[in-house]
Amino acid sequence: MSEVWDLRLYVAGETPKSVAALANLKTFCEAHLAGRYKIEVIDLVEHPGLARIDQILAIPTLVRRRPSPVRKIIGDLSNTERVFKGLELIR
Amino acid sequence: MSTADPITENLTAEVKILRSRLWEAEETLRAIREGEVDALVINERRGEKVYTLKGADRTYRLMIEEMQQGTVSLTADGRILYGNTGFSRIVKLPLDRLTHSLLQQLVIPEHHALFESFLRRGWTEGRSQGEVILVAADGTRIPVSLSFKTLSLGEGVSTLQVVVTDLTEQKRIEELLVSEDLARAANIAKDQFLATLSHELRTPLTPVMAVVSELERDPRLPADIQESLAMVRRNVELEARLIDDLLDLTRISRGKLELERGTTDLREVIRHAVRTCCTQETAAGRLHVVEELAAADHTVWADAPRLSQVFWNLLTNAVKFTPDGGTVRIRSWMETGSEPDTLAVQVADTGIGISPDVLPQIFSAFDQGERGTARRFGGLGLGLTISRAIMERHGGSLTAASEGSGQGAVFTARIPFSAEPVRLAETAADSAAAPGEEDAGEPERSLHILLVEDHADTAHAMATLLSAFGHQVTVAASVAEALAAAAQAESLDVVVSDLGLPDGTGHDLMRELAARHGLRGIALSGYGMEADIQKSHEAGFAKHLTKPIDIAVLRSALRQIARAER
Repeated sequence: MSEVWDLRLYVAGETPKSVAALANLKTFCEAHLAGRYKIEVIDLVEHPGLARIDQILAIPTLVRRRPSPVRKIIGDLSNTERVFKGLELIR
Repeated sequence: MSTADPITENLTAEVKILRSRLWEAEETLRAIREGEVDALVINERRGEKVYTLKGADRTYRLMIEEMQQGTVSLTADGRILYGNTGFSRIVKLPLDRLTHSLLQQLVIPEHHALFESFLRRGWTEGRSQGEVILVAADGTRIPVSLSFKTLSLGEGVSTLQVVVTDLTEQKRIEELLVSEDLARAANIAKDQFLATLSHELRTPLTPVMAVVSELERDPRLPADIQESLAMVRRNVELEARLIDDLLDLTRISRGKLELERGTTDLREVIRHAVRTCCTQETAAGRLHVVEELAAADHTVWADAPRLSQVFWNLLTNAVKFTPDGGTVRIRSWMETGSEPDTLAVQVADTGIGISPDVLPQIFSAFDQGERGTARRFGGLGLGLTISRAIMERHGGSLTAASEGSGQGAVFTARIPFSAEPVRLAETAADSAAAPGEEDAGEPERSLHILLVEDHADTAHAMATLLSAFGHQVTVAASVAEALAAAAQAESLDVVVSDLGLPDGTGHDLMRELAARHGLRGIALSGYGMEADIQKSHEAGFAKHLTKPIDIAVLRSALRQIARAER
């Protein structure tokens, strides 16, 4: 599986959980998806309209756009186990 | 199989979508509850808007999650919408097991009706409160206080908020308090019992003591009878001492051990104790008794009879527990450096010793080493408890040490070295009344004594003795007889009266006699508590003597009264 993981993280400016989620995500990807991921950070404070694309309700939310199907993980990604499960990543 | 029914296929897809939406909703709730989310996107008419959760909200949420109390939101049908960590902790169930279950299921069946009434009142009146018992997942019963309050969520939806307070600890403390009260009451009852018991035990000893000590002095009796009499007297004295110990113990446990202090030569006290306890043993060659008292001044401000009681106890124990050929060593030394200087007196023996597990308990009442020891040596084991209390009352201490069984024991008593009164207020009047050696040589003045005593043997023995000392004695056995005798008598000097009389109390009698004839009096009582003495003084008695009556003390009291009358 050499497919690149397309991840999108929705944040709200620099709220503590947004900052924490981005940091947790980077750490996770470097550990388990090194060299085959890209992260797009969308700040909904600046572009609230973009929430509609992925029907975002709570922030922070991580969306796995690829590989399909689309999956969401809500929260600050502090629980690594839940991130594994949410991304359906096989260790 | 591959030719699947299109309707089924559609339904399956729909279920999948519904499931994923449900999962997403649950995930969102979980993330909010666990504080992993701090902003929400709200759809408004003019488009999406982002609301970030301000610090205050986070604080409240954290507070609710972390608080010791449980909080639960209930739906109209009594199901749990949400419970916090505190509640989960109280009932020992994870939150996901609690959500959507009926709160009532956790209430013990006997309290279901009660619980329902709280719920009903909560919904109808907006708030209610009460206590029930819950059952935790591990089966423990948890008393809780429930406080209900309705909360409107808008759009006609309401929940019932319940704050759950665990009362386990509180109930435990309440129970402890109750049992402590009971224990205190039992203790008072025990003290009362001991006081009454010692009174009952003392009374019959009085006539025996009186007659025996008189007979002992009778030169007409042959030596072997004298010896037997001495033995009888010693044993009666021992009996009296055991009874005194019981009475002392009740004083100690009530914190009422009073001292009558005076300038005391501790060296004399120690030597006297050695003479009484050890002379026989040494003479019989059974033990070596070594006395090594420091050359320093041994003057202390103390209650001499109480201190001799301590050394008597320590030496008697040492002698009792040391086998033939052993050594009992009593030494004293001055300890300087701490303020004030301390005089230490040590009694060391080469006896059976004390095992380390027993050592910490030897100062507790009724303990006497191992059971086996108690059987071999008899006695109640009150001496050490009393001795320690006496030393502590003097501002000193009593400690014990032993290398173990068979290694001997060392007891060290310490007392502040101070010839001066430590506290001047201490019962100066009473210490003046202590059995006086100062007037021992004074010639007896003949008195006319009204002796009121309903115990015939005691009355007879005392009347005989008092007559022998040159007094004129009129005996009465009741209040009525005493008043009649007083009215008839030409000249009465003093009334000596028992307090418990068949037709009234000695106190009433004393008040009457003092009012009618201006008589002075001496009370005789089996009770020697401070309150008893106080009561006698209030009734007009000049002296209060405790049974068994030591004839020398009675004579001294009579002399003092005679002197005061002159």
